[in-house]
Amino acid sequence: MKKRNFLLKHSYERRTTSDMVFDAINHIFLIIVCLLIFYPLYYVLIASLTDPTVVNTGKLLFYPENLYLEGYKRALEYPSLTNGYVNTIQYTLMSVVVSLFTTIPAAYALSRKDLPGRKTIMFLFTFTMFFSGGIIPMFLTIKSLNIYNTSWALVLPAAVSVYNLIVCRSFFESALPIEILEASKIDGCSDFAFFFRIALPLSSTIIAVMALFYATSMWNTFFNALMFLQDDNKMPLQVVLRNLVLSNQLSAGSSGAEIAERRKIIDQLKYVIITVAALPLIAIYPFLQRFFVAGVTIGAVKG
Amino acid sequence: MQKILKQSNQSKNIKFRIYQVVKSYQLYILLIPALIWLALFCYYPMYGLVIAFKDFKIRRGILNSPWANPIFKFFEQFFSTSIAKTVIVNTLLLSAYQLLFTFWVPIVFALLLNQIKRPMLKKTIQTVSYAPYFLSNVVLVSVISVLFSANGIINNIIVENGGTVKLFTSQAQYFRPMYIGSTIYQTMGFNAIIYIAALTNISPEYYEAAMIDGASKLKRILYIDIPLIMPTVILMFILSLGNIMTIGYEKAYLMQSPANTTVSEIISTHVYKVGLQSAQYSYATAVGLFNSVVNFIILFLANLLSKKTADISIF
Amino acid sequence: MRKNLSLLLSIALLLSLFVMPVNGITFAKMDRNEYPLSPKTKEAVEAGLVNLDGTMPIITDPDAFEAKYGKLTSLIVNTPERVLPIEELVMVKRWEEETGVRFDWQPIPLDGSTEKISLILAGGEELPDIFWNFGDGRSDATVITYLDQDVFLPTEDLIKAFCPTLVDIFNDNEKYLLEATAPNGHMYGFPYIEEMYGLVLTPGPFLINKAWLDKLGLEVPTTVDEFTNALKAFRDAEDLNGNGIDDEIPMATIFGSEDTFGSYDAFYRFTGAFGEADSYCGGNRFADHMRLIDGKVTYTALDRGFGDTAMYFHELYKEGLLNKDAFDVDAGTNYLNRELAQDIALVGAFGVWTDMEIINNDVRREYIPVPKLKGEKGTFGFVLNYSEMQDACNTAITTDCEFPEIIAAFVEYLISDPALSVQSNWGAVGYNYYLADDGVLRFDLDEKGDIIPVEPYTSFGTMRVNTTTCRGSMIVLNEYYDTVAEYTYDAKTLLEGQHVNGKKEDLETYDTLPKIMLTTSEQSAVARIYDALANTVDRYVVHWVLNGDVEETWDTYISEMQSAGVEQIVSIYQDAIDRIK
Repeated sequence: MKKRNFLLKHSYERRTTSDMVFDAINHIFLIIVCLLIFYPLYYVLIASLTDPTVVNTGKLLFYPENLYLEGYKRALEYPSLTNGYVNTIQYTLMSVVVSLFTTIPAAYALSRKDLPGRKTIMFLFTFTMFFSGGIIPMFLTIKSLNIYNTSWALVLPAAVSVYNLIVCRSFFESALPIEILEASKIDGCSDFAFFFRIALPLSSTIIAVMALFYATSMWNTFFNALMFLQDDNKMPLQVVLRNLVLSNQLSAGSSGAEIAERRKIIDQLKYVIITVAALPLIAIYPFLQRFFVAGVTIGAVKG
Repeated sequence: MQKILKQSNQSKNIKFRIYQVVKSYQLYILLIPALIWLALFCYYPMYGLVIAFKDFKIRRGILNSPWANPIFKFFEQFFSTSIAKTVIVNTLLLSAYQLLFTFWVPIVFALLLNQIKRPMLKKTIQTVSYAPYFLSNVVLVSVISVLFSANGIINNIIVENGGTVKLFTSQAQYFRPMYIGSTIYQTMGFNAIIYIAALTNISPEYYEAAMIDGASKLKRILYIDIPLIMPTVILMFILSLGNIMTIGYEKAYLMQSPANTTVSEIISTHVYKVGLQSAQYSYATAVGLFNSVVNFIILFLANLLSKKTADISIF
Repeated sequence: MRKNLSLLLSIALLLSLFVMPVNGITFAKMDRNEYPLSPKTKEAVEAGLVNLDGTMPIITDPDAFEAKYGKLTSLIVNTPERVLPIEELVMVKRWEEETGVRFDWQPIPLDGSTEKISLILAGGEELPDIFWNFGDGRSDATVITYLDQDVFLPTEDLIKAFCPTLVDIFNDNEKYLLEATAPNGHMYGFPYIEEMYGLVLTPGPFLINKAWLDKLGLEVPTTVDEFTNALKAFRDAEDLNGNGIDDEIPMATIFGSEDTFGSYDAFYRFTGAFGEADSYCGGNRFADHMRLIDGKVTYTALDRGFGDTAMYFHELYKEGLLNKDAFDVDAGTNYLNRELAQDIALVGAFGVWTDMEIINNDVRREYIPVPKLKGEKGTFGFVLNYSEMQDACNTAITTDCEFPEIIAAFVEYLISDPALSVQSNWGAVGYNYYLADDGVLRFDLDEKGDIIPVEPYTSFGTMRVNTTTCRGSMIVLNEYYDTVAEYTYDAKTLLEGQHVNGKKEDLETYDTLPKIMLTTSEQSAVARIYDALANTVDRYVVHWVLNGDVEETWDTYISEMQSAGVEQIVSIYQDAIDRIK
């Protein structure tokens, strides 16, 4: 059966020479592009493991020459690092839960064409993509809600991303054709029931996508943490890593040996920090790639 | 008679509307968390925009601070030195160039990738292509600064091949290419996903028909792929257009150096530096407000245009 | 009778000379018993909890005080190398023990501290009792910005009543008095003074490699031309550092460096040799590129000599005499972190803040400071628009504080004992210092002259930040050196190097802008425009050095500076200077 289909499918594909040339060039081109994209990340990884003097002379190309793990050692010894990691993981998980809880139901509701005032509500959301009061009022709001210097100060303002909301809404619009809804209504299904029993199970892909979007955003959060958190031990990873670089920069009055080590390290620390900050995300996302592509696909096509 | 009919129709309309609203109460309940967020964290803080017109006295709070005298004082201050022209031009140019150069790249990439039939290869390339999306701006700029520094690997390659050292990270003429290039790097793969999705939705019947007619791959791309993903393209274009003046300050700020501020100082970096670092809140808010208003007007016009011509719009 | 009267009169006249009104303030002490106490303080004094007569402790019963009123909150800008919480610093514990004053320390990280402080102040509602510090040199500008907003409490009366030591210091140093008084006649917070024989008033030493000069048979250069020839000789020589590779870099610099004392950007050192010397200091960026010439505030970066300096550097650049990464402002890639960290000498000439920045001890010994080079129109060297009173408004008391008198008494405690002030600034006895038999605080150095760190710390710097807060309102005066404490060990060669470079002549020849405070509206205007001006200057310098087209672009430069507001900033500072005359 498969073989027959295969034959059928490709029986029309007369491969002209121009096509074959095109294919060849296309393949080569895309593979090169792929390598070019990959190389900087790879370079950073190996640079974080190589002796800085080798890196500085620009000799480093494809594999770590002199393995030099002092940078990682210094980073792992940095007491706040584990703290930063734990904080970031905590904030990310909280953010995903809160954001899913806010975004998904709202997106579904807005996908229903029979929702009165749908256009107005949509406009109200979109409007905020361009106008915001600025950081001072946001700071004042956070203070008056008493969430300053708590994890909520990071999670709540980021609970909804209007962009994500739009993507999610589109997903519901295309994945849930009106026929299903009408049929269920005939059976006496309420909106809630429809949402929880039919819509949600069908939307595992978009939920995974939204989770990944929000998680990425919270994982990379830096500026908001700097402004809305005060205690050092609440700082997330990106802030901690910046401090690590800053604390290894020279301060006046250090003794000779200390400076030597620091100077050598400071270049390498940059690579270590980039790796430590980005690695977890980059390592995870290929596994979610399945959901990811499918979800964004369906969500975006209908627009 | 007509008046009575109209009135009764109107009251019927209102009654019907109320009925509709009540009937959908469950949907509204689903909306509640998001609406609360909207009210608390978007619209409530918007009152802060009024700082742009006030002489902000922190002890009295925003609402009780006196009005600026004259009321457009801070806008005047902004437009009185050359900095206004510089940042507005820089912002417009940077966004325009960015739109021009980054918009079509994911589309082309998607069109080409779509032609690869081997599933494993296609998947691998696609996966690698959107890896950079997960790098934060801080990380990305660090990567750039180490690779493109005067002693970095790129310059080493250039020098070894007989060229002179290029100051990618500090000179003004390289700022825009580096900025836009890094944006392409970050977003190409990610933005391509949408187009790839749209492409996979194209019914194979089109291709079959075209192939029977003897169309080459190139022709198929030009006459089938492109037209059929046009709606998606236009929508994405409108969305990007709307962002033309709200380029975030983070990446530009990180990539700034004293030598390139002539092009790298954009509205948002100026607002950040003057507003937060020098505590000139009213001035900074005024500039930011100006930015948002212009942005909104552009988006509105684009949306209108697209509605009239292609019947596609966001609102 | 008449004789007595005239005697009395003359004595009175004589005395009045010492209480000369300056800017409307007569800096006379006030009888502390006549000071109108704030209500809460009055209550505490009457309850016997607080003692304001100048003896220690200030809070006699800390537990009872804390039970009734809580702790005094102090916001402090932290430093990344500090690993201990503030309460556990040796000096902080000593302060608490001796004064009974317990602070609730609220550290904020250095990164983003300016923004954070802006936000905290904008929040407006509950402010900490005091801002211990604001980030080096920033206290004045911050306080000025909020002058008319009822945020900070004026302190001049508190000082007169409770800080007799400070009153004396102000009366002995008119410059400090002028710099600490805001245009509205008030003072805010308490000053941080770190006198080190004018150390921070000129950039760090500019060094040249003597070993290389000797190898090439060259004399130490005394003019700019001789210097250039030496650089060319460095470039042309085969292998001066003996490693077999021709990797010697004649001169290293960092264009646009923003370090506090202007030491790493060699450009400004040469401006004096080609025209008017410029002024450039990261610690007072607002006043960059301005100097006093015959009492008039002048923007020296507009002087034609400035362009000629750029042409000189263009020659250096063309001849391959500069380091490759001179234009990278990124800290990770400059000569300090690369070439100076190696075990062989790689650079011929460069500026540093302290020669300790040359890591390898043997390499360090190859370098000597350069004498004052003579150029066509003048000599090498410049002076910073800085002050040894690096901050005028530290320990700034906010209007939310209910016990300002306690704070004033605390500051007096810090500064009345020189040995305490010294340790509060540089580190505690038992770590950075040891108490020698002659009663002087000394450094425990090894045979090479480096400090022997105390476990678990590995350097002077880490010991310093982990035993004391470093910044605050401590005062160290020149007269303390060798009477109370040794001159800071790594600053000795620093100071000597500066002197060889010509520090004394520079300080005598060039008038700089004192670090005075502006009015709020002046400060706002400056905050809006100084950045654009500084960036334009930096950008043109880089452009000229690379392209050498000063002639063709000079007029465009001038007009760009004018449309960016250079005349406005000059007139603002001129007004400020005229005010204090």
